[in-house]
Amino acid sequence: MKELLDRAVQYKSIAVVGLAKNTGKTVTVNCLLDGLSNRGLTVGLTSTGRDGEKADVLTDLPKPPVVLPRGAVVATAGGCLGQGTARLEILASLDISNPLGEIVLARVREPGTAEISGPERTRDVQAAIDALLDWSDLVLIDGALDRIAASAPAVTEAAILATGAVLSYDLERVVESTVFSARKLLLPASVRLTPQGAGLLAAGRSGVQSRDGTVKPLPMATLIDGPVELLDYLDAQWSCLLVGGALTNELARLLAAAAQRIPGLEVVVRDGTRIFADIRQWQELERNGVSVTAAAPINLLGVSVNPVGKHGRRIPGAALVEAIAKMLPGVLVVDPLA
Amino acid sequence: MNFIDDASAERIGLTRIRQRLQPLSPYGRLLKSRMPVFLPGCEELVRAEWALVHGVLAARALEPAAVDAVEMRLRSLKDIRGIVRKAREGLVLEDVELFAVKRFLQLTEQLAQLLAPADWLPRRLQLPDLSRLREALAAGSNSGFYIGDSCAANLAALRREQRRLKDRLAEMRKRSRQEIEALTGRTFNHQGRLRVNKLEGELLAKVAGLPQLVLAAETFSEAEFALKPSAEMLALEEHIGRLETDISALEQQVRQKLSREVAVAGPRLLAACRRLGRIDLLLAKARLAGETGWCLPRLTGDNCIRLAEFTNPVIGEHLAAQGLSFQPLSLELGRTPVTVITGANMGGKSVTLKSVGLAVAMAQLGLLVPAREFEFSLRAFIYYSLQGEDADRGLSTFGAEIQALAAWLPHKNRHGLYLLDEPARGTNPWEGSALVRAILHWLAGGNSLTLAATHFPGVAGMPGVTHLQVAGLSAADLQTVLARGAGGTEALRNLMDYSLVPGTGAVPRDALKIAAFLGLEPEVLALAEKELGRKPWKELRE
Repeated sequence: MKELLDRAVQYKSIAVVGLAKNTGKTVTVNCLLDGLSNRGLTVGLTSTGRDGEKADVLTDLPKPPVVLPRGAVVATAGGCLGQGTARLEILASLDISNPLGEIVLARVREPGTAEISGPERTRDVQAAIDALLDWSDLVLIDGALDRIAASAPAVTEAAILATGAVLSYDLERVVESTVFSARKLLLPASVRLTPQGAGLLAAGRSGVQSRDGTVKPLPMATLIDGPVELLDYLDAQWSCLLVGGALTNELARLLAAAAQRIPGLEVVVRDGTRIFADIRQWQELERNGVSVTAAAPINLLGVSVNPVGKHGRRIPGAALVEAIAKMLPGVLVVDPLA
Repeated sequence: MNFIDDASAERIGLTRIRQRLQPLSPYGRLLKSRMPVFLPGCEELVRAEWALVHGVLAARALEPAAVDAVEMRLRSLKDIRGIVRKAREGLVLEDVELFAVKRFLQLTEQLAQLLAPADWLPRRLQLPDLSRLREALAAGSNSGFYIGDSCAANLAALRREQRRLKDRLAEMRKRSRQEIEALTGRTFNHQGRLRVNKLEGELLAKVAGLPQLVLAAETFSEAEFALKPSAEMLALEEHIGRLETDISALEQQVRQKLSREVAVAGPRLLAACRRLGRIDLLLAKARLAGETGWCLPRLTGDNCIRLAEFTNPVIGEHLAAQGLSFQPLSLELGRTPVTVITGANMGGKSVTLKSVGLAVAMAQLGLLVPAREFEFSLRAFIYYSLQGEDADRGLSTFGAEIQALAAWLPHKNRHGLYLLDEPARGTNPWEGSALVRAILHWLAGGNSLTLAATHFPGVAGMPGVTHLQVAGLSAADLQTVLARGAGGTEALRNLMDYSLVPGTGAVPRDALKIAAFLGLEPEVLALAEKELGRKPWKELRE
């Protein structure tokens, strides 16, 4: 954990995203909150959507509450204040709302537990981070299930991935899906992408880029269903596909099948969180020599591991940490409760 | 009967003007949605309103920074009326609601200070004194909201005691853990658990034998132990819990007290909301006047409308987008109750009708009017004749027009304004012309003002009707243009003189010239000329 803290203090904003519910994300956040404030930092905290309830809304499993140290600042919906034991001073209200009310900034006057329910849209998360940074040294984002988008580099400087036995009691399978998720986040930056192409992607649009750097937007409304007409726009010259939306199974299947005809095919996504293809389709792409890159690479600080699965069963923590670390050189893998 | 119906408002451009009127606060927006129309009898009120807007404009010119500062704060205002209502119903407000009230008070105080030197602001719009509530909410946090120690007697002592006990409990736990860590050589994790691998049999036996520990979780390979609280720790925990109940109760009492204060200040808070809305809307009116240009309208006892150099802000906006500008419009209505405009197609007759309606509507909403001068008497209503079919109700162009007229014509004695844009053009010219003459004759007997545009012969020359004509294209212009050949609408716009001149009662015959200008087949035009029994087209061209 100390090493993770050493890395964390180098950033202004860090997203903690779970591969699933009950991957120990809240424990990781608590360890970071505690460790960072013990180092004298004022920590800011928000979540993407609702988090910090006593029991998981979906599975009804008990969840550890977020424990806020004195002086920390949170961005949470007004409707959540007073749900925990922490006593909060409301500092300001942001012009952002979620279903639980308007998001306010509040400072912890008496430490204790709290329910945090932050903004839901990526743009609002960005605004909340900016506001929190006015009052704190470093901001943590607790990312909720399927809201991995908030780990996008457009929003935070770095990300921590939480994984664990909740995915499977088979250690190999936990390792496999964790490593696959981490590799998606770790996609290399595209070398070929031109500023014009990057602009197209930033606008959420798709296009093709030629070897000499010319960019052509695509007329299709979407690529998610892997439309076969897409192949009319790709050849040895126009071999760089810019995907403004999601890289889905359907699209991956189409590209893998056509890769032979398009030497040097490169697929550029906005960032690693935009890949929704599963591990099999992903491997298919790799096997066919298609390189997948990102316009904005994500800075993956580390992976936190929760060896406890549902119903309290666990798989060997140390072995899990070791197996994931071996597959992800350079990425710090920790069990915060070891 | 409304002052103006939606269709007429849309046609004269009033809908667009309302869109461009942009208050900054929820209160201003609310007031805008209920913006009153100053009807006949409200002469003093509307004069006062124009004077206020004028005052804001003067202040803006003198001290733009001060007005900016006011506008910035108006933009930050949130709607607290729901919170005030909740408090007045006797409910206890939550922290976030008390914060919203406090923030409102801060902004209101700043606005009151900024507006204090404003000589345009009448006394009745000055913001009420809310200092008592402000003081009540001040304790605990400077600009935020917190139930501070000083908010209730004993609160500080209870919190201090709880903090002391919590520290003591934490210290006891820490000491116990340190003892066990020294005994076992293992450390507790962040959740206060001590993990032992079952393969370490000796250690496991030792740990399991420690009376301070209790087995918390177990798997086939590991066991997790937690600190077993001592009797003293349990007593401390219970004490802390009791204090928590007391503290929460005290805090709730504070919220209750503050909520009552909000309820007591309720009428003044709501008055502040209303006045802020008024001020906001006045500023918005002044901003709009700044954008469109303005004059202070003048009211007259005569039944008339005198417009000098009106620049239609809605049509002007469209023209500006094309790099063109609006030729200012001047005219006078009221010498006779009915005025008829004739003139070339594309000569701006509709624009004239719309402009008169818009100028009157803007003034009666308390807006300044973008003209050099504007003098009129307040109208009870504005009606712009409906054109175009209403397929939803199964009505043809003519049907829809007549149905609307049937509803409005009986109001001719209510000091309204009828704007009839080529009435009855959807039917045959013989009956149409007769119908228009009859309608105008009917309206000429009332006290409303009517402005009608028509191409029908025999209307402009009616007795008791004032005739205005669009100057249109001069003979010289026409020669130049025709020599050059067919042009486009843009060239036509450049040459067209849209100003109104007194008419002779006859309908000008410009339609064929305009058609030629717009490039209609010369052969067709020649045939048309023949039909009229006039000189052939070619000769005219030479």
